Amino acid sequence: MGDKLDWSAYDAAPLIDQVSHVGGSGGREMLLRVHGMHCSSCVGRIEQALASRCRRVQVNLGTGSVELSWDEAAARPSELMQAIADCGFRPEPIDDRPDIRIEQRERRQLLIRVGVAGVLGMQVMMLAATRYTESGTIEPAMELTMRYAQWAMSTPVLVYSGWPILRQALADVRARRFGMDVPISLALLLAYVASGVTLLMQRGHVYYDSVTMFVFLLLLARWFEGRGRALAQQRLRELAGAQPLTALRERGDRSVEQIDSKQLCHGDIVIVPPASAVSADGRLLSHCAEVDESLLTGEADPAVRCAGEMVMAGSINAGSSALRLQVTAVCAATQLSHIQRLIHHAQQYRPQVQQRADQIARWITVTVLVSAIAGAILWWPSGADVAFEVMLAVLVVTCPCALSLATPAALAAAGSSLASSGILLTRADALLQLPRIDTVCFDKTGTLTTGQMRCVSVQPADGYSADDCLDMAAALERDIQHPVATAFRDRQPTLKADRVETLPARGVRGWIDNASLQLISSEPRDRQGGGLTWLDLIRDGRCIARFGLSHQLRPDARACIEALRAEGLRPVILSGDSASAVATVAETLGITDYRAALRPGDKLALLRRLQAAGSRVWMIGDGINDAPTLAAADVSTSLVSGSALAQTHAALLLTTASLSALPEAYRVAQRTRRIIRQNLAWAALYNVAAIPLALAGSVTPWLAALGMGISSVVVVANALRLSVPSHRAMATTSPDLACA
Amino acid sequence: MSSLYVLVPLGALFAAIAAGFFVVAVNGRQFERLDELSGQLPDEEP
Repeated sequence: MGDKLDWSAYDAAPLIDQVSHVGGSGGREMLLRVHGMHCSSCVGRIEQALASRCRRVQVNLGTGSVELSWDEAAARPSELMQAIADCGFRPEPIDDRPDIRIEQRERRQLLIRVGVAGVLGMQVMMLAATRYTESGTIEPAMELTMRYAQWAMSTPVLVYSGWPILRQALADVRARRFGMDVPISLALLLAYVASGVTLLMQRGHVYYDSVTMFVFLLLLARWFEGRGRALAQQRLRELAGAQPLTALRERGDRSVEQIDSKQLCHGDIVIVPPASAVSADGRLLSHCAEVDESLLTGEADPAVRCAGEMVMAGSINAGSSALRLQVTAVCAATQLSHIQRLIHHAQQYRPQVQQRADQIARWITVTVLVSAIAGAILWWPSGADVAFEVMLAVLVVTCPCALSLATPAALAAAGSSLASSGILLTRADALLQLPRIDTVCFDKTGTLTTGQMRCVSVQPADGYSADDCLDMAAALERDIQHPVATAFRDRQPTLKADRVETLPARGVRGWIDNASLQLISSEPRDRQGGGLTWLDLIRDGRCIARFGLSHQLRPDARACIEALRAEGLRPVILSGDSASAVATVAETLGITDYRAALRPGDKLALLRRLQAAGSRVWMIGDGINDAPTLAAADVSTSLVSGSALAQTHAALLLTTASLSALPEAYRVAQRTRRIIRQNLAWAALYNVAAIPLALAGSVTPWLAALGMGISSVVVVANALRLSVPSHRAMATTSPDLACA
Repeated sequence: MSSLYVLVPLGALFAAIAAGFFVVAVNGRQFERLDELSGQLPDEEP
């Protein structure tokens, strides 16, 4: 399929600058993901095809990418992509924004700094060990040689590896604030300068081992902590990258053109070839499709979509034939972009507990500086050497790094663990509040049920046919994103509805052929109602038809309720639906506490009453009518298929169709709180014990560096335990349950 | 014991070379996406 595509959209601004940049040698550079490479002969074919036009071709089989550098005058990006497509592969440009390149470079640099400090620090430690084991038995000339070797190896560790710490301390001093890098840098510089003086004067101790170990362990802890953040960033970028830069738009004469995705408009028809990503949200026009939504939902198996159903931007066509979609939302309006913004917001957010820990860390920093000076004064009578060592030990051993790392490291690891279970964290505070929850309120339609409904009963009034009424209902619900609308999706309406608007918790209204129509929920005429959801179609104030819709429960709804109950939580259903429909669902799930026929205001009032009675409520919903309740709940969760408004108010976003992620989220939150408490307790205990010991002169500088480094590594390693999924798997899911 | 006068600087030199190799490996992006690469092992050659 590659040879039929037109890549020329990438030759002009703005796409050319988005996918490539001018390199250091003046030529243009571009990074492509190439689909279909399997072996080294594939690599050879691509290299051969591009060799004559490029200065440099670097094919990475492992990551499935090709890095190109070429003279702008010699070739255009489209020609290079066509050359790859001619070899039988599918090239796909990777968004090449400068901020991404800078971030990747910084991460690589930090790893190099850690590596250099580790390799050279090992040698320094080995030479320094002689001071502790062979003290007094080494010839002075040999000892001097060893000290010079230590100086030679610790200098790059301090100057190169330790540069980020020194730079931050300098910035802190200039801004007149007490960051923790200030005492660290002070300790490093003091130890290094004092060792230099000792080396020149050839008497006293050198502390190069303390310097290198301190820098290495500190950077190692920061690298571990940064890794969690990098994973979250990478997920954000993958979400951003999932939306392709170009789209294949079908023209009126059914020919296809490749255009910038940003040029797509509502109503355009796009073609998605097999194994390609969908560039905009759209309604499926093809009969049936298999789409891979793993990036959004974490679900590895492709989902099956039928004509009329929504397909989200970023999904991949997992079928063997091309798909046709009618665009409903583009660029920033897509579901994917919305989720991206929510995650970005979550990453910028600092939870309260972290803010408090940082404040305490600032106070500890000041205490450390004061204690170090006090220690030096206290030990001065015993000699300048001893006073200096005590001051150095206090500076190093009491650095509050572990305290500052305790919360962010745990939250980053928990966020990564939840993402793999199908839950995206949009407000980190939710993880700390979730373990305090005792009541879980569920919306019914679209949350406990699949969101797919079926119209099983039509009762037209005299003078109207069932077909006409279904046609009117289908026209009204055509562009509505609500589970009720799915009941009419299998019908292609012959009528067109204008000025359609949603009535929250009630239905929709619009105009067809100058007649005002409303499709709103109603109570069943008999008391039982058959467990169906009933809708009235009202034309110019008169009810002309009634529709009975059946629900499909989510397969794992019962198991989810049982698992939550096993954790001691009380499930409640708050629904706007009719009493009979809600009762049927509640009975099937074994929920005794339910309320039906609630409007958004009623739901909110009920939630407030629960909170006033002392309950802490976790609300799970998906519709526009759930937004006020989601905003008021102690913790809120929305579904990825839910409305954008509901998602905006949700602290957790369920990206998978399975509700089993909810009990898992609760368990992860409990573990996160436990680990944060352990980390904070460890950091506090360590600092409380370390200051008196260092002041008492019981801690040598190298032991202080070891203690400080280990305390940070312990905190990070403890937090990383959250990345391992909990072993308490959920009870087996029940088979599909149909209600009514 | 006098051999140490050669071995100590030699050790420092080797450490510097090892650090250099590490720098080249990191800049060659050999340490990126390590978590994912195990799942993307290329097929064996026919």
